[in-house]
Amino acid sequence: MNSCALELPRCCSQRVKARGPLWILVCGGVVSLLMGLVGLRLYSLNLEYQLADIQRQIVLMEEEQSRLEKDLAGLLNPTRVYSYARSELGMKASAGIGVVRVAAVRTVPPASQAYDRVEAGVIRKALVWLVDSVSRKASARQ
Amino acid sequence: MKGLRKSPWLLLAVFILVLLFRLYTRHLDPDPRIRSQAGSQYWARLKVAAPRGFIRDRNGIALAISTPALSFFIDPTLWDPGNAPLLQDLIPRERLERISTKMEGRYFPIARKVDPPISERIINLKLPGLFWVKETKRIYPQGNTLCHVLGFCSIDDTGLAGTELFWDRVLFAPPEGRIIAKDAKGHFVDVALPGHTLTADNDSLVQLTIDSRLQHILEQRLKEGMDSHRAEWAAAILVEPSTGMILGMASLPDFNPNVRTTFADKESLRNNALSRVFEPGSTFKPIIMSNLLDNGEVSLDSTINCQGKIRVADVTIHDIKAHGKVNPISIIADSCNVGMVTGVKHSEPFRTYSFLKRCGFGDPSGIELPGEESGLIMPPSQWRGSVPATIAIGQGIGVTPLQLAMATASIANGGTLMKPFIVSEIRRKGGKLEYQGKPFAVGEVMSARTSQLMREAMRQAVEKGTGRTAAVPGVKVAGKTGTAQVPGAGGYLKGDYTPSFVGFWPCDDPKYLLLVVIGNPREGDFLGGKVAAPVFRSIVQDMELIS
Repeated sequence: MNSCALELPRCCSQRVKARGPLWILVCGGVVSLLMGLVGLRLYSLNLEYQLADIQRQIVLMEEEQSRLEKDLAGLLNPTRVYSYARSELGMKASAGIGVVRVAAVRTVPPASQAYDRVEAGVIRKALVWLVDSVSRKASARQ
Repeated sequence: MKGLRKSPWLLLAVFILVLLFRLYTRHLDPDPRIRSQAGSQYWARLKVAAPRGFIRDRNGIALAISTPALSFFIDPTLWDPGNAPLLQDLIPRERLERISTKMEGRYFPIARKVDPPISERIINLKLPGLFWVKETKRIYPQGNTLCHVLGFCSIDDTGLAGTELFWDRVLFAPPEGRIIAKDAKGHFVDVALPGHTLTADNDSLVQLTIDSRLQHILEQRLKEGMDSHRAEWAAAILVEPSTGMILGMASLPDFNPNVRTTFADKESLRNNALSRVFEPGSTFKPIIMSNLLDNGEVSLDSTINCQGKIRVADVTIHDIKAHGKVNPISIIADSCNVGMVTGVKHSEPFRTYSFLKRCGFGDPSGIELPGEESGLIMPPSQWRGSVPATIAIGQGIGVTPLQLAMATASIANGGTLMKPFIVSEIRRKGGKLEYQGKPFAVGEVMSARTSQLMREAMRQAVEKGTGRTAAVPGVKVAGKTGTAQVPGAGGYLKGDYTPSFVGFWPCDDPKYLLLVVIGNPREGDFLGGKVAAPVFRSIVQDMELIS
């Protein structure tokens, strides 16, 4: 008697049976959506940690760079270079050294040479134009 | 409807709805107290120390640079004094003694701005209660070189002297606030704000007009000259006379800006090139003679007969020897006191005073460095008795080496007083141009002809006058020696002199002007031609070899 009371009517039972797969599908969809979100979050966390690691490396590299720049400036110190050249390399300023300054003299080439040069220039330009027009690489030759 | 009321799915749906609501309120809209507590576990607000900007020479060589360093402190509540011996030789002795005993409080600094090799050793000890913070340390890679121009900083990286002080507003970058994420172990993870790192950058730049190589030559030769005569101080300035660009500036005694114990001697901190006022002596004569020639008070043809001494008011002014018949050119070449005194005998004090002011004496030149003195020049109303005569020979007037160099530069460049500048350009953080040093003509102080005549006179001083020891084979040097007495209480001090030499080359179109001043030599000679001129010559020779 009691077991009969708990039973659903036939029509309702058929409706529930019909909805069953739908509920499963919906629940499955929600669960997979949540799983996807969790997966995405985990993936973004992983990326964030990678980014943090790269940032840390950048900081270390920048520190190293400033240290290297300091060392370089110390090595370029003229006092150090001078004393190194003297004490380690045994260099010394020559006593008999003299400075001779020669003023630049502008020479005018003879007319025939100048003509040859102009002619050579014209021929060269013509050749370049010819080659360029054939190979279409004018920009590379300019 | 009845069936639905009895359905267990309704209860389940209500339960899920309540659950979702609570999930929403807990996670997406939590109570502010919970939000704050949770936030403190994952986020931190930090003050990140920013390094000071760079100071470079004209060739880009770093003269002042900030590098990372660690500062260590202990939390006495977590610290075991028994661990103190492990830090022996790694931290200052007095700090070691303090942490060897029980202490109160939560914070005690033990070492500031420790360099990497030692800081790594301290970290590797992994002592409980020992902590550290990252800071930056100011380093001067060239040591003593250019120390007076560069200056130095406090332990907290604020400028205290020199360029560091003058351009502190550009070089100093205040600590920057950062909101940083923390991981489960409490380590900082820099993901909060992309593009903002755990360190603060500062690419601000002060580029000087100084050439490190020339500066080295200047300092080395000046030191040799000072040591060989056991002098008390020395200064040298190398300038481009046509523009006023400072190429080198040396001052002795010096200090090492990296070693704070060297700051104890106050005299070594003074930049003698612009903070020392001295009586220039005969190096002042070409300037006074320029005024006399320009005003027509002395003509090129006028001659006088030098007897070796002359009486002016209540004093007698002597020469080393009687020069005989001299003209304006030979007065400068032979450094004739009698000739100068005779020349200014009838000159108008107000006019001379005005000329000297136009030449920059009595006022700071305006160079981009702190601590510049104005010099001492009496108002013309007080020029009585022998005062005009003594000023004519460079006594009774106080000038700085920089003023003297710039005034002589006006002789070298054709008569224009240039404003000196030592900063090439300044860029703010981010590269924005803040300032650019450019040639600036203060004014025409003499005619081109007078300038030409004085150049010729100074050329003769080196060729056959008092400055022969400054002559360099193959280089047309023009210059003037000076040997000034040093004033003290109640008169000039016996045995104290300031030998100097100012010269420029090549004489026809001067590219460089160099002033060398040696203060109070105690050994050997004391004359400018014997003490300062050889230093000048050695500097020119070295410069010629590398130019």
